[in-house]
This record gives sequence, C-alpha cells and structure tokens, in this order.
Amino acid sequence: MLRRINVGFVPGLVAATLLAWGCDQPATPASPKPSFWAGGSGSCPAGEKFTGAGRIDPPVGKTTFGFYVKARDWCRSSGPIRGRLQTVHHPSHTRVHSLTIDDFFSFRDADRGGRCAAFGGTARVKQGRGSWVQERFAAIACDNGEPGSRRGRGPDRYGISLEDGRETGVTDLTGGNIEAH
Amino acid sequence: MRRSTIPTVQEVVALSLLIGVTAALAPVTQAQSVSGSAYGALVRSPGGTQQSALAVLPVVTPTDGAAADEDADGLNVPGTITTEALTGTTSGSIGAATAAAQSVATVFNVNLLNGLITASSLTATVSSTSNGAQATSNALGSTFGDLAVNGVQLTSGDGAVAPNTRMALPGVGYVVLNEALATGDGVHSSGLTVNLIHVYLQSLTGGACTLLGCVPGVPMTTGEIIVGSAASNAAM
Repeated sequence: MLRRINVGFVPGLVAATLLAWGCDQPATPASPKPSFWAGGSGSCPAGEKFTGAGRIDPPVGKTTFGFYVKARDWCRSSGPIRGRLQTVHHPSHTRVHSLTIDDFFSFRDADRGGRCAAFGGTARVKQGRGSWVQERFAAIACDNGEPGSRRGRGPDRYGISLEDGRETGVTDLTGGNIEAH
Repeated sequence: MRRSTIPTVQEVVALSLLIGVTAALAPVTQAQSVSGSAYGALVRSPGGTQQSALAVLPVVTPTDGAAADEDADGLNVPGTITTEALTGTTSGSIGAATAAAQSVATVFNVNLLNGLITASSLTATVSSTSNGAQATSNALGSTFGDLAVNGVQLTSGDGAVAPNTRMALPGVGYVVLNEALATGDGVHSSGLTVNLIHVYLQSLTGGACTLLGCVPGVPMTTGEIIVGSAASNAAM
C-alpha cells in the first residue's frame, strides 16, 4: 500500500502530528509540495468529506478558520479535490485563502477516536497591510464529537501550517465545530 | 335515468377517513437543512446600505457539504465606521446522522461614530448541530478585543461580553453588544445569530411644545450599524 508523506515545508505540524498519531512511515523532506498521499483506494479510511469553522487559541495566538473539503474523487481514483479554506491569524493580522487543494488523506484521531483529515494546497496569504503572496499550506482537522467545542476546549481540533514556517500546531477548538460526513 | 355525481354523505365521510388514515400512516419527515452566513460589517441608513465581507452558505444537499468565505482590506464610511481587515466564513454539512453549520466573522481595528465605540478586534463564532432528537447552537469563542464604548473600557485584551448587553449612546441611539438571536425548537432545529456590535441609530420625531405643554419626541430608529455578525442553522 502506497503511503507516502513528503511534507516538505510542513514538517512541524503535519509530520509530527502524523507520527504522533501512528502513521506508519516517517515524513521525507524537501518536496516542492506536500504530497501526503497519492490518492486512490485506501487513502481515506476515515472519510472523504469534511467541513468546519471555528476558533483555536494556540500559543502562537488566536486563529479562526472555515473550510470545506470533498475528496471523494481523489479517494477513489486520484481525481480532483473540491473545497476551500480560510484562516485568520489574529496577532499578525494574517489572512489565508486557499486557491487550490491538491492533497488529502483521512485517518483516525488516535487519542480521541474521531476522524481527521489532512489536506494541503496553495493559498494567497496577506499579513496586515502587506501584499498578497502565494504559499503552500497544509491543514489538519479532526471531528471528535458534537458539539465540536464546549466550555473549556475541544473535543474537535484544527491546525494549519504555511510554507514560510508559520504554524499553529493541532489545537483544541475554543469555538465552532468540525464535521466528518 | 341520470346518475347523480354529487357524493353522498357516506362517501364523503369514507373519503375523509381514508385521507386521514393515509396521512396518519405517512412517515413524518423533518426537512434536513443547514444554512449560515457571516459578514464583517453592515451600515444601513436612509442613504443606502453597505456590507463588507459577506459570506453566505450555498444550498447543501443531503450527504454533502459546502462553504463560503469573503474578506476585505477594510471599510470606511466617514463619520460612521472605519475598520481594517474584515472576513466572513461559513460552512455546513448534512450527514447520515447529523446536520451542522458553523460561521465565523472577524474584524480588526474597529472605530464607530468617530471613536464612540472602538475595538482592536472582533471575533463572532457560532455553530449549530441537529441529530433529529436534539438540536443545539452556541456562540463559544465570540469575543471583543479591547472594547470601549462611550469612554468605558469593557474588555482588556480578548474578552467576552454578556449576551444582549444594551448601552445608551446619548444623541445617537443605543448599542446592543453580543446581540444573540436564537431560533428553532431545540429538538429538530436550532439556529443562532450573533451580532457583536449592533448600533441602533435613532432620532427624535414628533416632539413639540404648545400653550398647553410639551409633548416629548419619540425616538425612531433611522439606521443601524452591525459589526461582526455570524449566523448558523441546522435542522434534521
């Protein structure tokens, strides 16, 4: 079974998370884009469609997000992935908007039993009043029950990483919800 | 011999009973649906309406999902509102067992009515879920950064304000902070709209004095400003 994880610029978030959660091969570095998986049968054991929106409060600061990813064709025949993502990192006033999503796989949240999606692609990114630049991104979203956020934290979680090295870590939601459906 | 086409009383009763039995036996199905929206700011006045970073969830079909997002670098309506970046994002899905929608709006560096209300950031977050037996919504994560109203500092850093907090704005009208509007039966459906700052612009009309005395004017709402709005609904 092909299980290739060339995370390139996102070793911290994606590789660490996947290794921690029981992925069976370590990440290999230096890919021009994150190729989590080659798609096709078997690449999506925990689901093909995920949606979510909400808020996390990692040590790097408040981050809000919304996304939808539908990888049915990718999961079955390496076809195109549909979806979109928006994320805002509040301390730096950074906005991230996906342009494409071209990698996806799903897996079980080993700690909480829920379902997770890892997906990546290209995004336009703007910090404060700066200019828009294009970067690659990778995100992980986990649905661990309803509601996705309770008073306190979790159980759902989300994290995003950018090509320039900025990342939130996979963090419990403090608001909102993630759905695997 | 002509045969009457007018149904007899017995026929009408029998037909009614049949319809009633059929209706009683028909499965009662609740419509599965989700909806959501979010926007950074809206200004409505007699002169017109401006809305920024509006995202509206497209129609979601069963076993599918969708999302929408918008953003803007800022909004400037002189004397009324200035902000830096605004965003709105909403997503929803209908699964086999759960319908869910969630929305987020964010706004940075808000200044309303020449400094009468200021905030360094606003975050409106709402989510709704229904499984057909229980439906809930919440606004966890909705906060105000460094909010000040009419010279009163209400939050320092990122903090919450009690839902539906109303404050007078002399000469302007009033503001409702963390305005929460809930819908649904709590069983099959649930929805929630949160407007973090909702200014009701008012003016006095009808007041006058005569020899017999004075009649006070009646405040009438002539416009509104909403900043940081998120809404979600789910039914199953």
